Amino acid sequence: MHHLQAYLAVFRVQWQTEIEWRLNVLTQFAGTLLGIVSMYYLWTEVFSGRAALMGYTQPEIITYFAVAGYLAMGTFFYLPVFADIRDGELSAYLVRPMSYLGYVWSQTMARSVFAFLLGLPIMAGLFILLRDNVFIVSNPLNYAVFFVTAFGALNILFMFNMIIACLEFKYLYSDMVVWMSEMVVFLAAGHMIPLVFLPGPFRVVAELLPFKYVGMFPVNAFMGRLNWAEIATGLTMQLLWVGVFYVLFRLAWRWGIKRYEAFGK
Amino acid sequence: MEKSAKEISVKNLVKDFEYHEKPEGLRGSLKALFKREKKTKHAVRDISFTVRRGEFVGFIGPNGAGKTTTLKMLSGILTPTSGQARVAGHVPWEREDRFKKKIAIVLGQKSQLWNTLPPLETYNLMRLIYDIPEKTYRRRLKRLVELLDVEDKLHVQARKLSMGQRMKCELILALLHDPQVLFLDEPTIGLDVLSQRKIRDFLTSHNKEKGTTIILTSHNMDDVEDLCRRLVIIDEGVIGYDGTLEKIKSDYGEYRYLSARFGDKVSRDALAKIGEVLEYSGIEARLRVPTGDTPSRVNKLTSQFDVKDIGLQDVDLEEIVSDIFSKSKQK
Amino acid sequence: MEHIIKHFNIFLASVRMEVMDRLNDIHIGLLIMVTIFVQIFLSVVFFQALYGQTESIAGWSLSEAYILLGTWHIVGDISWALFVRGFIRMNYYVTSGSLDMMLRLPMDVRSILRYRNIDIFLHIPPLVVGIMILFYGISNSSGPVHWPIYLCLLLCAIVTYYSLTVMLSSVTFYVPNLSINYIRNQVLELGQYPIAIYKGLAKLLLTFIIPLGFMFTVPARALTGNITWIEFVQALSVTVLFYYVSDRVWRRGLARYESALG
Repeated sequence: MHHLQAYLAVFRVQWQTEIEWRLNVLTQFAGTLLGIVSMYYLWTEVFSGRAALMGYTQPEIITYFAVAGYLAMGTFFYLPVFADIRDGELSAYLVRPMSYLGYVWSQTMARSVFAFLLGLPIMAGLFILLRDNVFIVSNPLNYAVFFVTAFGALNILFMFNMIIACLEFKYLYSDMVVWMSEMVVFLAAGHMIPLVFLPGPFRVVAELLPFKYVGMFPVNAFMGRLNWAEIATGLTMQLLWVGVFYVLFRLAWRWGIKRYEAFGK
Repeated sequence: MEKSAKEISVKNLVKDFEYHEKPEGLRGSLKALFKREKKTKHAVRDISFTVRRGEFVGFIGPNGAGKTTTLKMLSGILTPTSGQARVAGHVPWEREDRFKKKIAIVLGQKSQLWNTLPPLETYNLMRLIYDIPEKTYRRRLKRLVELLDVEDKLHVQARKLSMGQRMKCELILALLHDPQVLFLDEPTIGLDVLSQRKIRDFLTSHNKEKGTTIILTSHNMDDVEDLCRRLVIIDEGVIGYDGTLEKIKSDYGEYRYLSARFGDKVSRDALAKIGEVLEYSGIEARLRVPTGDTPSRVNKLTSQFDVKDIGLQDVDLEEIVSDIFSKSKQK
Repeated sequence: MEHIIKHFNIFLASVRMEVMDRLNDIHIGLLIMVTIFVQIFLSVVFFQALYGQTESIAGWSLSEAYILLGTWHIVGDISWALFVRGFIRMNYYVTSGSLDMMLRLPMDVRSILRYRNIDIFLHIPPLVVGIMILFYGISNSSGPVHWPIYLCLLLCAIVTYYSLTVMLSSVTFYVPNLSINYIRNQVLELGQYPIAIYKGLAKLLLTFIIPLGFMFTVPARALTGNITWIEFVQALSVTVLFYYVSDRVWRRGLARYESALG
């Protein structure tokens, strides 16, 4: 239980950092809102009066992008691991009786909770503003489902980014790889556009990748488009993928730590 | 070029910094969202001095004394809260381009060289920015490179240079446009002894040959003793002493230090009769005795006690300076 | 005249230094370039997906949308090549104190920021792709192509891009820790879509307050001959006005920075 206290402490420290840097998080939200608003206008034109496209009505599409934007704010994070490895800061963590993975995870959890909390009033405001044009979810159970599936989404992305971070052990400035993969993940998750709209081959690939559980799955679950069996399956798949990525991470970490050169520290 | 021309004149310069108290703990952070305490740091409190053209002045003081802040004001980086100054005929914080061409500043920690390219590339760029004629540039570069002995380092990536080589290259960068005034902030910090020596020699000869006015801050006493004939001691934003090195040594150098190790425990009171007891641990002690009377005091010590080991030291600049600081604090 | 020659020489020296720099760590440069290509590719996929559902969006056909997208990429890439990176790094320069050293140089610090971070090497390939997208759109649309007016408006767009970048970066003088890069990118991304999709307040904001309309939509329409002389004059005026405003905002911010923080 000593470890649990340590992780809580990390969470708390990161939480305070988030409060200090709240302006940055707010501007991020402002940017996301801009994206949501532009999607609103864009899709209004695309629909141009039609009742539904690919199974989504116009209000539903707007809600989709709003919720997807909110979800992205609470799940996509740039990890400090790259800098830690590059600048040799990692050394300090390796000698502490705490798993580095656990440390970064606690940090990420703090950032996620902060973003989700800060975003709630913003999202509420947005939905009130657009109330005539959005699909409102009334069942409180759906909100609970959203946060449970969001947690799964966060963990998949976290583990995936941790694996990429291990590249930094050998190739400096691998955070560029994250930048690139993030775009692909964004597409494959259905954040850019619901997967059903993608052209044939792209859709097929996206359906095969695990990233649909990072975006489309939580959003569709929230909007009540999935029945309980599908939600259960989805959650299981999230768990499975977190497991797969965790194993891959352990391998990558073992490979990388041998090469760790601890420059400067 | 008048020797007595005033290059730098400073009058009643004041610099205050405002900052917010950093909150402690979670509760503090939440409180800080609504109300933050504003605090003021008085970095420089009313200082005045003048520097003649071609002088080499050392600013000494502990960390946070206000040396770097003063330098930053005189080079135009900071605007003072109040007060006046003129450097090379300009008000520094008006930041005229003509002023910028007359001065140069080297801040120990902030590199101006492009990290990933050889220094020569940065020099070339500076040549263009400072409008240095090509022939003049080559001539100056050659001279500086020879004096500092970095010929083979010019084509090496800056980040691959050692600290000493790097500082030499930074100095060259600063002097390419032949500034009238050179501000140096802790130029030898972190350098090995040999590099320190080389840079000091270079600065001395540059000051003599070119007549460049140099202001140097340091808390390395060797720097100051070697280079500066004039010393300005600054602490907590106030000037504690402004005069030549010789004067300060003669003013304050009336004492010598006597350290001794004894066979048995000696009484502190008994030692106090011989000289001022600075350190005492029973069998070891350090006394301060007047320079003129040292031989007799030594005799008294050895005749009264069982002295196993004895040492004599001159008072050094470090002691003088810290003495001045503690005296000014008492004021 | 001397002034222009001096700046041209510094520009050349900076390009040379940039290329040397990139060649030093070429794997990073290549990685960034690949990432930019992926970005372009994905935006094309996005548009294909949208137009899979409709023939026209706010009166813009797919080929016209490609003209707009190509224009957007061209303006963006040229801007990134010439100046964007320097201003994006303002946060870092301010907090690390590097800006103070740049301010010591006898030249407007905006020029220093531009030259220090010139990035031509990296942005030529994506620029080529942007041009390809543009030509693809042209090839699939009918009617004459009006190059002179298009190129003129393109130049205006780059100047306005610069003005916007400078203005947003001025925020750093007031709030050094705030990174406005994300929001900057989000705002500029909106320029990919025809301004016609926005209605009411949003349309006004994006035409006059943040003149995305004049930067991207208007040139794209000008290419196919779909703008009026009034709009052309408006575009020119907005360019000049924004440049002037950005200059004032920057100088103000810098003066405040130099007097208060330093």
